[in-house]
Amino acid sequence: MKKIWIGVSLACALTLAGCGGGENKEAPKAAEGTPAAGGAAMPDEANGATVTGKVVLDGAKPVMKALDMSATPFCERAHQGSAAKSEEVVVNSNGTLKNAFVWIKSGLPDKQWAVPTTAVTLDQNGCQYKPHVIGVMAGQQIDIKNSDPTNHNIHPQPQTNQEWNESQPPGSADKMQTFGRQEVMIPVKCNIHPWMRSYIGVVAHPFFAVTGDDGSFTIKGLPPGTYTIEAWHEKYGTSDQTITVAPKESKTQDFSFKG
Amino acid sequence: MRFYGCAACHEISGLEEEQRIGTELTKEGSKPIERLDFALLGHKAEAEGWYTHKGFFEHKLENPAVYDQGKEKAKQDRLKMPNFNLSKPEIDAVTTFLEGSVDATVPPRYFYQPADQRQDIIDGWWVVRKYNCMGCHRVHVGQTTTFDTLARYQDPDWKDQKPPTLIGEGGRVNPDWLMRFLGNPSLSETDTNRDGVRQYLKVRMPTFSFSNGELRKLVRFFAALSSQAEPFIQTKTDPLSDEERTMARQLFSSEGAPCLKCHMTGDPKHDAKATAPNFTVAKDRLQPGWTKRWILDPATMSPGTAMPSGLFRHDESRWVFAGPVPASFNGYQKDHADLLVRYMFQFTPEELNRLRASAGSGAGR
Repeated sequence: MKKIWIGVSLACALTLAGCGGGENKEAPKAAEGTPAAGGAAMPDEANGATVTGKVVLDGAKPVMKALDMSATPFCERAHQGSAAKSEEVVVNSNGTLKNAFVWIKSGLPDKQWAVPTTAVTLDQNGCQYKPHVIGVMAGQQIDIKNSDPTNHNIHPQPQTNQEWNESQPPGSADKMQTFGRQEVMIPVKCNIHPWMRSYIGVVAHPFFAVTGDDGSFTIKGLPPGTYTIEAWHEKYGTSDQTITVAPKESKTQDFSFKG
Repeated sequence: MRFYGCAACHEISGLEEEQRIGTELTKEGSKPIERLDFALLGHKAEAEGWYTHKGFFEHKLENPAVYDQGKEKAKQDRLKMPNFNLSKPEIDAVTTFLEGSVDATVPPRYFYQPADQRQDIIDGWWVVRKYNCMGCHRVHVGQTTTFDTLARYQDPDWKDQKPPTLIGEGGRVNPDWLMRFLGNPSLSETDTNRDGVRQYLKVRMPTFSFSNGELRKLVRFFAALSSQAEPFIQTKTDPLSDEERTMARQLFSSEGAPCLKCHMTGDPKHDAKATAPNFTVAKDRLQPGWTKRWILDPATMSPGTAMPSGLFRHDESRWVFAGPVPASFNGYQKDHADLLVRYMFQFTPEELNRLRASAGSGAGR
């Protein structure tokens, strides 16, 4: 009996010692990054290069069909007057594509890049995901909101990250989720409302952008070097280009997708 | 009749228990040569070079009475084996067979012959491999199916069209139901062009026309893999009070609960947009223990499932619905998940009508 107690207290002491040691090790690690890199790197806005450009649609603007939201009366009512259209291809007034994801695919130095502490919002509003495409860093928080008075469930379907499917009732708290591994792109769907679709691009570094209403993107603070830069579009696939930048250089790189 | 062994070939009422009269041939090939009775031909056989199993069988089959030559035998000791007038190829065939009927060369303890459910698992694998269940279904952890290689099924809209995983099937379904399903996957005599459980699937499970023995082996296979108790006795759920039934019905059909938005209920108008099995017939198909575990954490049980997790949260010692609950739930101290499972397993046709009326057919999404 006595032996058992000695054994138990020894096990407890070792576990507690392990706990304390682990915590001490983790705190400095988060701040410094891996010892090899010498600290989590940040994009060097002052001395780095800037790449800007547009993603253009080469061809006729396709007609997007309206989304059939009759299954959920609330969703239908939310779009009374102007039925929501599929966001598979959104062409801006200047012929550029919205919701294209542009990122540096390869060529970056092998470093740990600092993960922003701010979260990127993904809102379920009017039974659609807003915004349609988001970009986050691996490990960065995604703030998932349900702004509708109806149930939604968020079901990202990644290939290399863990797949999950969470219900979000109306009026419930925001869900904070992260993806640990780089993956371009992860489709997100809602099982209750099958027309809902969005995409999340998870990147291990901060050099990515999503084109907006003017179809342009800007990537700042890029270290000098030669890179493969890729533009991804939901319908038209990917387009890779090679660019070389010098310190403080402003380079333009356009992408064109055949419609 | 017994002496001549008539009942070994002929059916004679009253003599069903009679055994065969010939020597046992199961391990004939391993009989030590000394035990083969060459009788007076022993020396001749040695001299001529056929003092072997092969020689013995060949001469016996050519003329069964060959080893009785030169003997004086009483009537009751005489040979009863007839001469079949076998041709040379036939003699070769039978000799080959007898020479192959040998003992195992390894000790019996090397053989895996369990007497319990593990034998059911072995028997089941033979049937599973014969029909290639693993081509479409996940039968063991870490396995891929043909659908993982088809490009269309990687699209987010088509991933839910894949056949269900069979990992844990024994713990999920009622074995009597499973036997009926495997016998006729459409679960209908009239409408066979549909899947009996998941009518929203575009491809239905084929009817394999299993034999009764194969059906039995498959059902026992799944039960054994999930370590189910034998014989199967469906767990009884605690009876519902009328208030509890009303509360459960209100929760199922409330705006805060997403159940009716995906699950079939048997109402054709509602089911046209359904993407999940009919929970109103769950009591015949599923087991209550599994159902409760499922609604609490589907992602752990079937990764990538369309059923969302996080529907319930843990509140001290019980599970509580995570969304807005109807007012009737105020003051209810018991487990919500348990209530819903009991509601599903005590479902009646009258209750189905009340549920549909409460939900409003087709609407209420």
